[in-house]
Parts: sequence; structure tokens; C-alpha cells
Amino acid sequence: MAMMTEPELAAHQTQAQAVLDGLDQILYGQQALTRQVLTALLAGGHVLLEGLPGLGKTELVKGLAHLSGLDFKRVQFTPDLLPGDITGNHILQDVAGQGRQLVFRKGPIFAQIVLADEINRASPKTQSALLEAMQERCVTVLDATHPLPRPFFVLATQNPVELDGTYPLPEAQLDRFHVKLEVTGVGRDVLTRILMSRPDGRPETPSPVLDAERLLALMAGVRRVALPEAVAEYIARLVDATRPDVAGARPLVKENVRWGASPRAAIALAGCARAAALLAGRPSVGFADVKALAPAVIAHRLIKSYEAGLRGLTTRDVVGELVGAVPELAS
Amino acid sequence: MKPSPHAAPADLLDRRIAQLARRKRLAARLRILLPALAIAFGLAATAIITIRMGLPDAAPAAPWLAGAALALPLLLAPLYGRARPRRAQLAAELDTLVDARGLAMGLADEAPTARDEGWVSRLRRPLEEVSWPRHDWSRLPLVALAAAGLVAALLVPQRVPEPASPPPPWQVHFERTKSRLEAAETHGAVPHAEAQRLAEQVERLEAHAAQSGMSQAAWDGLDRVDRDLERALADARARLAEAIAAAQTTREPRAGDPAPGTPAFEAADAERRRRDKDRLKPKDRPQDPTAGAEQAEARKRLLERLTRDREDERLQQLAKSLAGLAEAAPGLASRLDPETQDALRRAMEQANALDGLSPEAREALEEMLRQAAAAGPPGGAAGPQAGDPGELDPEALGRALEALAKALEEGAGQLGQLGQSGEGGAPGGELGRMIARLRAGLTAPGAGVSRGPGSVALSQGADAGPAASPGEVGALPPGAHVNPDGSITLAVTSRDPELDAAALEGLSRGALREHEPSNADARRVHIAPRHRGAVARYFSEDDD
Repeated sequence: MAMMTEPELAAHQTQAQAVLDGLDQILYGQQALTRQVLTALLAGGHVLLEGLPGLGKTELVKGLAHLSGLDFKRVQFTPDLLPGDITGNHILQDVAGQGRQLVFRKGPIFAQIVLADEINRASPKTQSALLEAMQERCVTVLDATHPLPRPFFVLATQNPVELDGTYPLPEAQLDRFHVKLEVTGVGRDVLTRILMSRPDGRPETPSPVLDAERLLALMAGVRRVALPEAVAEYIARLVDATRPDVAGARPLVKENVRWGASPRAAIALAGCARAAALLAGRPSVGFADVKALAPAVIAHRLIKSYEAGLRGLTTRDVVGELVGAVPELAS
Repeated sequence: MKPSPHAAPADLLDRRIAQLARRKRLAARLRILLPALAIAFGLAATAIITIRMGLPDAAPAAPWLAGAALALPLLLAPLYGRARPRRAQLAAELDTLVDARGLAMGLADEAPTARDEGWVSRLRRPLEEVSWPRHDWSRLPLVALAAAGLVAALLVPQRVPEPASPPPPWQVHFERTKSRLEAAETHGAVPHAEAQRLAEQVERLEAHAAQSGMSQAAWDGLDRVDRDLERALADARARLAEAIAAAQTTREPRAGDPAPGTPAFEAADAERRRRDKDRLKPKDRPQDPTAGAEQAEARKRLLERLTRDREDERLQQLAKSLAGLAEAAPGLASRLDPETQDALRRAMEQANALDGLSPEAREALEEMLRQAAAAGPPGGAAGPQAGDPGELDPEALGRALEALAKALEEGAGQLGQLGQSGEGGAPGGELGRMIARLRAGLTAPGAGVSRGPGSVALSQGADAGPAASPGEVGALPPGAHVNPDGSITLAVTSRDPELDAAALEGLSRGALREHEPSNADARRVHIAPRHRGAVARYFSEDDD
């Protein structure tokens, strides 16, 4: 595929920048977070936001849905939520001229942007109801497969696992999120700005700057961003370095990682790097794009060892050290 | 299709990539070449210094070593950096150099014709102003230092070895003893085992002298070897004399018999004939004339047997002497001609048949004959002739004995030359006198009944052996007491003493000084009787 021309890239970047500007108006002082959320979105991936309640996670997702002009639904995950409450159920209904029939009633998953709020408060069984939807972008109920609308994104929020009443997400579920972003608090100046500009505490509902079609075109443009061979090799070596079972694994990984990243992580990292390059107005991915996104893309896919937990080491720390340790060019 | 980094550059980006590839190859070669040059120069300098200091024969190789130290790394350097770096890697490095943040890599992955002009133009200026990383010349001072060392090594003058130091003055004594020992073994005068033992002793003494100087103990040890060798030679001469005497007197009357032609001989012969006649006289005279003829035939056979008994007796004596000779002088066997060897073999068989030889004597004689057969005829003559396998007739035995006597005389001459007096082989020398004594029925010196330790011939006359003439080393009889103070003289040399002026000065001052080894043989060494035991233990075989 030929590299995008400069005008094409400029047009894509303008549209993406409009979304970013809108997000920055919703969530003050979180430019890095909003940029990474949009990056994952343009890469066609799902986003997992982790943070304490009240940090603006839900507002960010709602604002993104409005700005992109996509159909948006929200599911509040609770411990008694059932899979059918997400995917939809068959109900007995009178059909004109056909009598009573079981009719499939679509659940909230049938939306272009689904906000899975506090996803880790639901049981793993309910969490797993999202697996097929997130990966295959379809839902199978009673032997009937129902395709989901395009584009389809799941933006989930979760409270830190240390909080009471939470169920940790299964590894397969985590692996389906392109990035996992940690939402942190804002500084006093930002907080002051929020208090001054929002009397009711809520941001204004933004006007859409995109629609589904343009968003799909933007995503297609992301796929046209060149991924140089050297960068692809670097991504492969970086992901491979997270595996403790390969020959020549680093002691850091051997001691602290029980399970490394999957090939899906490499694919997600390449996609996100492409999107980051597009957002930066570059037609080709650089090493810096990969390095900047690697912790967000890889860390939540690793399973740390018991010893790492005792040391208080997080998988994000491990990936951060690997980014500094793995050379950009193969020797 | 991606362009090759080594193909003709299509645009600036490809040219820069090709340029980067060349620089990387050069850097790889420099990375190898500089340390290799430093190491090669250092090794060559070390080798040349070694040659300059102590290997003058290898001096012509020094310039070649220096040339090889320079040429080898230069020749081998192109082998490094031959591995061409991958284009993707080159593009990534170039991207980093121009800070293109992936743009150069992305464009490099595309064919030059497919590249977007906008992106290419954006990249042109950084590519034109690219600053290449400097080559690593940090090891160049090390190379310069090694090169300076190499030049310095080449400039070092070649050291000429000092001439070999002359051998010590006592070396000639060891050489003389070794040559005598070798000659004695070559001529068969000394058995091989004995010669081997003496040679090992000489080697040990020489090593000891070379290590710690020629001490008095070394001198005494060397004298003891000389005495042992002289004793072995004397023994061989005595055996030889016995054999020659036996050979010459085989067909002559025994020493106690009266000489033929004298009245005593005639009387003894008449008496013997009378006894034979009486023994042959028939007890009952037969009446039958045929019986008289048979008796005459029987008398004839008895007479022949009695005659043969006398010959057999002498033959046994000869075989015993030959056996003794075979033990003392095994090398003489190779000097016998085939005919004599054959005659000797048959004589031995006859003597053996008569049971006149002891097992040891027979074994020694057989060994001598085997050596004679193995050595072959002297002068390349034909092997033993196939003669009559029967008994020797008197004429054949006579010829064989004459040949044997001649060969033994020649051997005696050669053995005599090994002696220090130089007159052992002369017709009138010691060997001749021994033969004369044997033929006269006398015993050899030292032979006869021993009266125990310290036994000395009771009379010393003309037959007691010649006295040592001036300038000759003479051995005293075993156990002789010549010193009135009771000490034993271990060695006496009649060479004029070499007086050390410093020693004389020391004597004049009453100081005791050690003499140099060269003066040791000019001194008489006296050993008090109370020290004999210690000296004997010191020189005993076990301590060797």
C-alpha cells in the first residue's frame, strides 16, 4: 500500500485533531490520556480505563461518543448483571400474522460505542459476555449470530482491583483491550478551572465533529501509515522480550513475569503506533511512537509473578524497563 | 521492490543509505584493524627483540617479521565488514541521524519512483546536511605506540653471542677414560655389562664435576674407574695368555715331561712302551694263527686309543682355556677365519664328548662361536667351508691351532695397545712374559692360593712384573702396604707437580688452602687407618 500523501495526511490529522480538541474541552488537563484514548480508537481497538471514581472516566467516554457522532450506550456493571442483560434476550412476542414468536431483543452491546462502566464489578461470567463482541464484533445468542454495528468500540472503566466488590478481569478479557490507561487526578489549577467553568460539574455536550463514515475513513488512513521494517522488528523484539520462557530472556522478566505478551499485543502496538504517527502528522511510524505506547499496550497483558507482587513491582514497571533495555536496532 | 543499498543510487535518500553502508563497513574494518595492528606490531617487536638478544641465526627474519606484522592485518582487514548491513537497518540508522522520526525509514521501504515528492522534499534538507558519526580512532595511539616499539626493536643492534667457554682442564681426564673404556668394549676386552657399569659411573662423576667442580672425591672415583678398567684388561690379557699358551703347547710335551731326545725322555718312553706292551701282552697265547692276527689288530686299536687319549687330554685343556678366553674377551671371536671357527667348533664338540668342559665353560665357548658365526669372516671371506663332519685328524687340528694361535696373537696385540704401558702387545711385553710363564708351568701374577686380604706375592723378582717407569701410572698389588705410617696410597702419579704460587704463599703463612682441581693429581692423598671405614662407605656401590 502506497504511503499517504501529505495532503491526505493533513486532512486526516485535522479531523483527528478536532476530536482531540473536543476531548480536551471535556476533560481538562488530561491531554495525554485523551490522546491515547483516541489513538486506540483510531487503531480500531478497545480501551480499558482504570481509576478511582470521580476522575472523569465516564465523561470522557461520553464526550468521545458525542464528538465522533457514534451511537452510544452505557452499561453499568453490577454483581447481579447477567450476560443476557448485555447481549440481549429472546422474548415471546405477538407478531402480526405469525402469532407468538421468540423475537431477539438487542441488548446495549448493539451500539457503536459501548461504555462498560465499572466492568470489574460484574462477575467473570458476565464479563466474558463481551469476549465475542470485542473480538469478532458480533453476538451469538441461541445459535443466531448478530453482527454489531461498525465501527464498534468498547470503552470500559474499572476501579482498582484493591477496592471491595470487584472481580479481576480474566486474562482473555484483558487481552482484548488495545490499551489500558490509568486515569489519575488533576492538579489544583485544573481543578480550579473545572470549578470556575462548570457550575453544575458537568461539561457541555459537544457537537459531533465526525460521523461513522468519516471515522472509518480515518481508521483506513491509519492503516496506510507506513510501518518500516526496522520498527516492526523492534516491536517484535520488544514483545518477545516480555516472555520469560524464551531463550535469552532477561533476568528481570524471568523473575517478575509469569506469562508474557501475546502476538495480539504486537498487532495492537503496531496499530496504535500507526495511529500515533497519524495524530503527529507523520506518514511513517518511528521508534518513539512505539516506545511511548508500549506500556499502555503491553503491560496489562502480562501476568506478573508472585515474587513481583511481593516486591511491589507492576507490569508497567517491567515494560518500562524493557523499553529502555531493548535496542532499537538489532545487533 | 526495495532498492539495494549497494546498487546505483537513485535519489538522495538511496545515496545516503549507500554512503552509510560504506561508512559502516569502514568502521567495522577500523574496529578490527587498529587492535590487530597494535597486537601484530607488539608481537613482532617482542619477537624481534628476542632475536636481537639471543637468536643471531634468526636475524634475517626480523625485517620479514616486521613486514608481516604490517601486511597481515592490512590483508585480513577487508575480510571484516564484508557482511553487508540490511537496508532496513541502514534506513533506521539514517532516520536517527537526520531525526526524521520514521519518515526516512518509511520512504526507504518504498521504491524510489513510488515515493511522494512532498515527503522527499521535506527530507531533502536534513539528508543534505546529515552529519556522519566520526570513526573511532581511539585506538590509533595504541597502534602508534606499538609501531614505535617495532621500529625500536628493529634498531636494536644484534647481539653477538660470546664464544663458548673452553672445557675445564679436568675434562681431558674423563675423555681419556671414556675413550679407553670404549676401545676396550669395542675390542671385546671388557664384558658389555661391566663396560656399561663403568661408563655410567664415569657419566655420574662427570656430571658431578660439572655441577660442583672437580672435588677430591671425583678424582678418586675416576681413579677407581681407571683401576677397574685396568683390572679388566689385565684379566683379559691373562686369559688370552692362557689360551695362547694352551694352543702352542697342545702338540708339545707337557711341562713336566722330559724333552724329546733326552735320555730321560727315552727312558720314560721305554717304560711307557713296556707298560703298553705288558698291557697288550696276551694272557693266553692262542694256538690259532688267525687268533694272532686278531690280537695284532686289537693291539693296534688300543695303541690308537691310548694315543687319542693323550690328544683328548690336551684338547680338553685347550677347550678350557678357550672357554676362559670367551668369558674374558668375547670380542676376539669375530677375528677368527671360518676355517678356524669350524675347527674350533669341532674341537669343542670332541672335548664336550669327552666331558672335559664344565657347563659354564661350554656355554661361554658356544657363545663365542655364535658371535664368530654372526660376525662373519674377516675381510669378507666366504663362510665356513663344509668340511668333514667327523673327528679332526692331527694335521687338521694342527692347522686350526696354528690359525687360532695367530688370531689370538693379533688379538693380544690389540689388547696390549689398550694398556697404559703400551708394551702389552709387544713380543717381549707383559703378555709375552705371561705366555712364557704359562708354557713354563708357572702361575700368573695374582693367581694361585690367596692368603686372604692383603695377600701379596712373597717374592718380587724378574717374574713379578715390571716396575712403573717414570711418567707412567702404576697400580700397586692389591692390599699392598707401602706406607710405613699405616695409610693406604689410593693413587700415585709420577707427573711433575704443578706448584701453585698462592698455595706456597699460604703454606709459608701456615694457612690451609684449597687447591684447584688441576693440582689435585699432583698430591699424594693419605688416609689414616681410622678413616678407612668412612672412605669405604663413601665409595661403596650402594652410595653410588
